[in-house]
Amino acid sequence: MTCGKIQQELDDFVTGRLVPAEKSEVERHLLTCRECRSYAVWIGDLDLKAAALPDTIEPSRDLWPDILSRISARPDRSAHIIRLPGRSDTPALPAPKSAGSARRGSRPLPIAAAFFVLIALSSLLTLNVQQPNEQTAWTVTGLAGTPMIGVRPASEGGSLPVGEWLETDGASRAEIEVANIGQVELRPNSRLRVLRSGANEHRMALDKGSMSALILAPPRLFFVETPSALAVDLGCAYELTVDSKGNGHLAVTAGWVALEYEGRQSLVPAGASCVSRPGSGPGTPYFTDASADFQTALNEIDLGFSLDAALGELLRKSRVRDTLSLWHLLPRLSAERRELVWERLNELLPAPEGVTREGILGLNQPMLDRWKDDLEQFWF
Amino acid sequence: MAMEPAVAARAGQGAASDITLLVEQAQAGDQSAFEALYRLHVGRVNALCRRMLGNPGWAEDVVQDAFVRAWLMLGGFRHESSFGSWLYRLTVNVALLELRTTKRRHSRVVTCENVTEFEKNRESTATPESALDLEKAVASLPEQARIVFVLHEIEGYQHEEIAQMLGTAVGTSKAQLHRARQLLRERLKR
Repeated sequence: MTCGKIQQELDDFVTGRLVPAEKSEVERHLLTCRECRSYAVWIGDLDLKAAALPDTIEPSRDLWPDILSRISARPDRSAHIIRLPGRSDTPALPAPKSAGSARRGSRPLPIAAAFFVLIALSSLLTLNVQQPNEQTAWTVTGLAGTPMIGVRPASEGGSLPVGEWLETDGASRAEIEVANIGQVELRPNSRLRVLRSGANEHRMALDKGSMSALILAPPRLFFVETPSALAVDLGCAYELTVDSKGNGHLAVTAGWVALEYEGRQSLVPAGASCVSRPGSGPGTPYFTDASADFQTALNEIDLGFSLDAALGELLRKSRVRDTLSLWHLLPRLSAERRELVWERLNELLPAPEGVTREGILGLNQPMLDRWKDDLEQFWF
Repeated sequence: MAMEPAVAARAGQGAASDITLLVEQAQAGDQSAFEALYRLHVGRVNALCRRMLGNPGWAEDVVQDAFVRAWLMLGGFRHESSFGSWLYRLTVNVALLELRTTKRRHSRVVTCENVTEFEKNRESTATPESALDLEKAVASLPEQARIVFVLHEIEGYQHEEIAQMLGTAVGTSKAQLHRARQLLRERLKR
């Protein structure tokens, strides 16, 4: 199949609609074609943007008076003789065939398309692809300007050995082929170093600046250390920035990333972001389409400012999708404030059977996990 | 857009049982119940028409047509799906009929006037820049690619359903979606 045909079949691939031979062909192609992998991730990003479009757009004027005059002039209800477009023998509207017909909210998750591609490929990599040798060098390609590996310019196809720094100035960018599991793009004014590259772990450090990553590997194989948290790949594409004070900002575009620091973990799905700070680790993840008031209140809570007022505002402004943030806050707040979060969570999406108020307030981990499993279906 | 208080109160009812009651009253000929249903759904119907037609003014004409059709056909609604799903499906069909029968009396591309409309909408709904860019890019797509993109990516219909609505092959629907994505990729990069 050509790239065009492969890209056309991606929807069927991720939803399991291809016959085995076609599925294998798409898988093989994706493993070797960077353009099609990039296209798959772009589709995931486009799906997110499409899902974020407003559900409603009010007309520029009230249309009801005109509608009323028309229906008043035609009071008869001759449904049986009205023909709508489509097949001429279809007199009435067909009932929706899929949940998708009820549209956006209940759409069968195409936004996760790229994520499923990545997961599918992760399985392939685990089963079929030769594992890289220990201490594999990574390949660097300059995309603009003159990126530097240590003190020498990175030439086309130059390698980045373990322990070496790759640095860009304001005019340069570089792409790194990470063993055989994906790509990292290092943006201008950034610096990273390979810490480890082997069969069980690929680890690098982002000292400053920005990078994007597209990783096709099983979860917990690719790690990025920053001054404030460890980004753990769970099958994903993401952008990561470290500022001059060591604060990190993660934005996930496909799949999931975990941010970890000294036992504290934030799980960040596609469409969500998370800030991390030196000494305190990852903050509370949030969907980037949450209201500005919600995001401000969440930031204040993470910083420990005006906790009661900020929490009140946060809870008032929270939507079903924001249960991502509320669930993460449960173990991070005092018992009294946790109870307020429990009440709002339970109001937005009632706790499933077997998950009790006492259990959640007591931070019973199996119950927290059980509830998360239910909430996750709205975190897309 | 002033509403009668009684209609406003009824339009404020959003629960499924309330909508079912409004539908039953409208089926019995109660125009104020139908107005309440209009108030509940007009934003969603208008968004669908605007995206399918790529022209805000034209879309509002089709919104009217859709609600008039809905009134006329309401007697045939059997609650086999939600009223919203039924209305949106009907709206899709009305918009497709309009596109088929209208010979280019409206421009298919985004004009300065259209962009201004999107800008106005952005101001009123705080639509993010990226969403505004996507709205504009979608509106600028060729007609068939735009329709398939809106129905598949925004409305959530499957290719089989879209092919049935458009009277084309499933492969054609897939090809148009691919074309739409490629064009959007180019246009959103700019």
